[in-house]
Order: sequence, then structure tokens, then C-alpha cells
Amino acid sequence: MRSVRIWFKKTGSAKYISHLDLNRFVARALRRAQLPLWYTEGFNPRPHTAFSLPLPLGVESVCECVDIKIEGEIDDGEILRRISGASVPGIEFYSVTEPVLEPPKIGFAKYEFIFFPDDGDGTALKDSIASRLASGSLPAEKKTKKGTMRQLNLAEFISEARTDLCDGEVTLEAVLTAGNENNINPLLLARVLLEGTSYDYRLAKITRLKLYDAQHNEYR
Amino acid sequence: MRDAKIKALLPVVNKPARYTGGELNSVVKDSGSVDIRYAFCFPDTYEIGMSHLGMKILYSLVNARKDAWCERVFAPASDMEDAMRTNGVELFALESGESIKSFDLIGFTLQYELSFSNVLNMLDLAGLPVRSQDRPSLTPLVIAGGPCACNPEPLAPFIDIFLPGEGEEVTNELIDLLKLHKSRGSSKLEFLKDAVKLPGVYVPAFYDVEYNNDGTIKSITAGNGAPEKVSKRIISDLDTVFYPESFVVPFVDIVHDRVVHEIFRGCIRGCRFCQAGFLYRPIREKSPETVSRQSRALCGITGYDEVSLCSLSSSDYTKITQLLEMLLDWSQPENINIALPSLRIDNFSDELMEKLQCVRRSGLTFAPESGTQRLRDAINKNVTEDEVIRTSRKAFSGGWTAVKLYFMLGLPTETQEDVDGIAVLAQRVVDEYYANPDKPKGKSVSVSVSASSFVPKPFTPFQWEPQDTVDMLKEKQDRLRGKVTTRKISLSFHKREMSLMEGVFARGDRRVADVLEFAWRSGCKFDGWDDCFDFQKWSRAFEQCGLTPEFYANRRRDFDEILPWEHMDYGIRKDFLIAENKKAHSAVTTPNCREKCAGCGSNKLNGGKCDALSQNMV
Ligand code: SF4
Repeated sequence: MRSVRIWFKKTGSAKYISHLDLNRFVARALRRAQLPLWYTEGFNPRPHTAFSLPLPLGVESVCECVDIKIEGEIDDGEILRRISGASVPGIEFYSVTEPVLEPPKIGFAKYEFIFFPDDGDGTALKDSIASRLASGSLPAEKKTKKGTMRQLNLAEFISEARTDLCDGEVTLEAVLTAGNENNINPLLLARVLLEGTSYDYRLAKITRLKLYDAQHNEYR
Repeated sequence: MRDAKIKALLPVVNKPARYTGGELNSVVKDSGSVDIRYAFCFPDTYEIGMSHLGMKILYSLVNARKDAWCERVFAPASDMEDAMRTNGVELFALESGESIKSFDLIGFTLQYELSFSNVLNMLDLAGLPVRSQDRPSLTPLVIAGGPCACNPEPLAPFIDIFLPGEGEEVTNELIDLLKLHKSRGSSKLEFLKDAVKLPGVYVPAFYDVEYNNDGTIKSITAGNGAPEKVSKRIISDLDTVFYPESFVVPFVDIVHDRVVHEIFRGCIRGCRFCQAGFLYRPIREKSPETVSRQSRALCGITGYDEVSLCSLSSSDYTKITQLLEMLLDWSQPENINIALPSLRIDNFSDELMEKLQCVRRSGLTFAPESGTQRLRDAINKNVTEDEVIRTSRKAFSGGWTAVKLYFMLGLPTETQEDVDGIAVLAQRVVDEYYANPDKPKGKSVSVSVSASSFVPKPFTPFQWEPQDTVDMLKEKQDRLRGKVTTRKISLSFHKREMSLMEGVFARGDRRVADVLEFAWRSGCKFDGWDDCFDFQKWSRAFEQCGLTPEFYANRRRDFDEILPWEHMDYGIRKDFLIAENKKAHSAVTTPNCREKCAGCGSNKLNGGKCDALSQNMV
């Protein structure tokens, strides 16, 4: 038995597939791909799958991964070929690697935000976003695991942020803390940045670009 | 292809994956290369509709044709509907994202009377007039099928064509005919006149209904060459009939998310309250070889890890043991579950029991339907109290601690004793648990009793019976609640007014259509959902139209009254139903079809053949 990390993109309308639904989708894709999977013991044997970092509904990603367990002879290229053939448009498997870091090692994630100003002129919007980021104070409320609300300043969880204006679209690239502790949902940041403006944060296009460990090394 | 307007709605609604399409095995074609575009509409949510086997069959069947493209359409949830209406987005098909207004065929499946308001709402949301007469052009043609098409009258003014019975063959015939008329540039009337020559095609506009002063029907007269009686269509051979090679696999969790396989149609039991048991006759079995082969292929293409065998009563399938053997042979090594719902408790052989150890049963449920043997005899429900107790005992000693019991309130001939009997039977099951010496320590038993309200349906022996009024049902529900003295028994009931409306539509005539339209215009939709159903609006609609729900639901009909569905022929003979009704009133049972053919008449539509018949002759 060996562990294998399968990397995939989740783009377009596939961003509306929830994490739970994605779990089921991948389990079925693995079956369709007829991979020699390792199954859990017990009355209801299931293949093992472990996702590195759940992606919020509505957010796209080019760096998702899921770890599976393989039992039997098959090379990584063949795994990729078979699983790709079992997928749907929007979920594109692009690489199979040996896991180097375990999922709990994830410390940061980089996101790209694209805001579309309805009036076509993004200058004001860009300035407003940039000045909010620069203020160092981005108060927000976040649900804790216990279900209570916790007040926090999002600015403390942003380790890098760059705004830009290009073809009338305002873009923001930001590295946010991620993982088991202090995981910041990019939609929360979008909401706080747009609060008080006429823009609906839900219409922003957000893509997860990269995962890092706590030392800002690329997650592999 | 997908409209930017639709895309803008998705981020702001709940569970947007219901509206995106793009699921595995969904069929996308080039709209320019097909002649017929078919919108298959399910008048309920995505989760319910996607679970429906009939839709999967017809979807694949139409898409197997090169010249047609079938797409799926569901009723959007309220938040999505509001967003669509505000932004001027018309009801769209999931595969193309295009408004169904310009499609050739819009087909509804009518599974449940309380989804009728959604049919109107969906037509309206598509930007179409709801009434057939206000849609003068040939296309889109609005058609409807499914069990509720057995009394299509409450929807008569809205639907161009009803297709009573099984749709596999007639759908293709209709598409061929429409294609021909489209190319000829025919008018809608020209097409419809030709369509009624096909067996099993009902064009309501071609029938004239006259009423007596008391509101009953005086006559139903066919015109325009339409047949006096429309026979339902049936498929003769389930082994050769089209069965999908693939299922669309949804992303979101739906009600039945697995491979579903129909093992036979019809039912040998003849429970007198059960419409499905009569509507789907005669009995036709699919061979175990076909079921096993098709199920295995479907698992491969969908990635599902469960196959659920469906029928009205799975253990009545003659080759059930053989089938399970065949299935388990490949499913076990491939870690695939076999689920077997609709199991009856009375005919478990030991051999079957043994096989069932490897099969997943979906909880322990019994449907005694009523509380006393007398009433069970009256409704011809062939289950005895001893059987319930014996099976419970077996189950409890096997470690089960929860049992579900299904009953009905308001059955014909029901007395207070019958109502009390429900509590007595539930209590006996509880006692049985505590009588078990090996019961798990410190664990209590839970018996959930679901007591739904009986609604008389067309083509059953009870089609003439009065349905209990809302007040009568309330009294019975309260009485039953008072008789249950332990927290180990939990009770659940149906909403009484909902049952009333279900009864009105089940046996309503054409005049009910006005009530339906009025209620829908005042905001009624999703009437089968507790949180949407608004009885006040329905009451107002009846008042406005000068009708009462009691006339349709709570009135006893004479055997010689012309019923609104008199011109529908489901094979079942009227004198058979009358005889069954009379037997019910004297609590006399009828043997099941395998013991003895009761002569229901349904086999006449199948060239005299009935699988139960041939089995009881050998
Ligand atoms: S024809 Fe006879 S055996 Fe067949 S369904 Fe009818 S009553 Fe039963």
C-alpha cells in the first residue's frame, strides 16, 4: 500500500460543488477509474481519501489535492490518465505526486480576487480596497469550531497583499493564514473589504492559487 | 452557451450546484444538429426529481436518438425563483442553460397531486401562457405523464397531451410524429388530430364534459376523431425494453443517490387502498440476468457503490434468491452494496433470510397499515399481527432497537377500535423488545408510528369512497395520541388539509382547474412542502370559483356515477373494482394474484398476458 497525492483544479461552475459533495464525487471518480484502491476494513469497506484543505463554496482553485491509498501495481502516469478519464469539465486532475508534507502542515494559502466594478471604472474601488488593507484594521467576525462568534482583525492574518487595476478589473493577490488553526475564508476577506460599498462581495471571482506550509515553503 | 444572467444569480442562491448542469453523464448536444428539443420537467426540487427513475429512463431514451436532445428542468427553489423573476431569467434547461420557451416539447411527469401548482408555475416561469388555448403555435407542445395522469382532468386546460401509462414507446412515436408535422409546417390542431390516432394519447381539448345540476358529470364526449376511451400504454417485455446505460450522477446529495433497478412492474397483492398496485398492472417481471447485467454496467459508468432494487414488493419477485446470488457474485468483490427496500415481512424464506445477511436493509420498517385484523382484511392487507410480532422478535434478538410502523387513518369502515388498535399494536412491539432476554443493556427501544391520512384514488376499489373530513381526521389523530402512553412510541401524522387537497386533485374534474389556477396566481406552489402549503389561499380559491373541496373529497359516489376519469382505460374492469369494494365492506379478503387470478382485467392491454397469471397456471 502506498499513499498518492492527486492534484486538481476546480474551476468554472465546479466551484459550486460543496466540499462534502466533492468528497462523494472523488470517491465515485476513483471507482470509475478502476484504480487498485486500498479499502478500509469492516462491514462497509470504503476507499481512503483525505483532502488537504477544504475549499469554500464559490471559490475556484488551481491547487487542490486529495490523498488516496493504492494497493497494487500502477504507476503515477497511469493513475493520472485513468482518473482524468473519469472526471467532468471543471474538475481537472493534472498531477500525481508522492505526498511530502502532511495536510496539517499547511500554514498559508494564496488567493487571487477579481472585483468587477459595474461602472467600468475600477480606480475608486481599487483605492478603497488598498486603503482598507493599508489601515491595518479589518474587523471581522468568525465562527469558531465551537460555534461561538469570535472577533478578529483580519489584517493580522494577511501576510502579503497586492492590489492592481487591469482592464477595468480590480485584482488583489493575498496570502492568508490557512490550515487547522486560524483558517481564513477568502470570502470573509472579500466581504470585509467591500463592506459599505455598493458591490456584492459574492460576485467577486476568487481563486486559490497556492498552498504553503508555516514557513512559507510550497506545500508538496 | 450559458447566459451571463444565469451565472450572476448562482453566487447568491442556496445550493447553486442544482442549477449549473455539467454533472457526470449529462448529455450535451449541438442544438443545431437536432430536430426536436425536449425539456423534461419535474415539478419539484432537483433533489427529488433527480431521484426519480422514470426521468432517468426517458432522458436516456430520447437522447439515444440522434435527432432529439432531452434536457432536465426542475422547479427552482423560492430564492432562485425570486432571483430569476427579478432579473428576467426564464426557466432554463440544465444542459444548455437556454430558456425552454423555444423548445419543441415540454414534458411534465406527474408523480404527486400536490405538485400540480408547480406545473403552472414552471410554465409561467418559462414565459409561457399556462392555458393550452393561449398557446396557439405547434411548439412548444406541453405534454404530461406519470401516475397522476390517470385522472388528468384537473390539469386538462393546461396540458396539450397526456400520455397515460408507460412512456417508453409512445414517447418515441410522438417525437417522430411531431418531427413530421414540424417539417410540414402543420398547425397545432392538425398535429393533435393526427396524434390521437396513436394509442395512449389523450388530448383533453378534444373531449367535451357536461355536468348535471348537482355538479356530477352528465357526459364526456369525444370529438375530432379522438377515441371514446384512451387506453394506457404498457410495455410487454421488460427484458427487451429500453433501459438506460448510464445515469446522470448529481454533485449534490439527492434523495436516492444510487443505481436504481426496477425488477418488475405491477403488484400481486391487491391492497385495496394502493393505487400503484392497480395502475401498474399487469405483472411483468424482468429476468435476473438482465437486472444483474444492467446493474453492473450502470455501477461501472456512474461509480455508484450501491444498487437498490425497486418494485412495489421486492420479495414477491419470483426469482429473488437467484437474483441476489447473481448480484452478490460481482457486487461483493467490487465492494458494492445491494439494497432491497419494499420487503414484505410475511414471505421470507429461510434461504432468502440467509442471502439477506449480505444485503443492506434500509432500517426495519413494517406497514401493517391498520390496527386491527378486521380492518386489514377490509383493505386486503395480508399481514397479521403475529407476523409483525414474530419478525420484531427476530429483529430484536438480532440487535435492532428501532422499528418503524406505517399506518393509515381514515380507511373505509374504520371504527374507534381500529384507531385504538394502532396504539395496541405499537405497544405490543415495545413489550416484545422488553421480553427479549438478550436485549442490549441500558438501551431503550424506539417505535416510530407514522399514521398518514388515507386518500381515495382513481382505479382502486375505494374510488367511490368518501375521504375522512379534516375534522374527523383531527379527532382520530387526537384519540390515537391519547392512547399512546409511553415515550418509547413516537407518533407522526400528515397535515390534514394537505391530504384534503391531495384528495381533491386525485378525484377532481375539469372545474378544479380554475381553482388550481386561481390558487397558483395567489401564490400557491410547492404544496407538498409543509413550509409552503397555504390552505387559506386554497379555501379562497374554492370560494372564488364557487366550488367546495368537500364535494370532491368527502362525498360518497354511487357506482353508476360518471367519474371524471371514466374515459381513461387502465385495463382494470369496473365490475372488478365494484366487487372488491363490496368485499371490503364485509371484510372479505381476496387471495394474491399468484394464488388465484382475481380477474382484474388489466392483462387485456397486454394481449392477455400477465406474469402472475402464467405462474399460477403452471
Ligand atoms: S390479471 Fe389476474 S393475476 Fe394478473 S394482475 Fe390481474 S388479477 Fe392479478
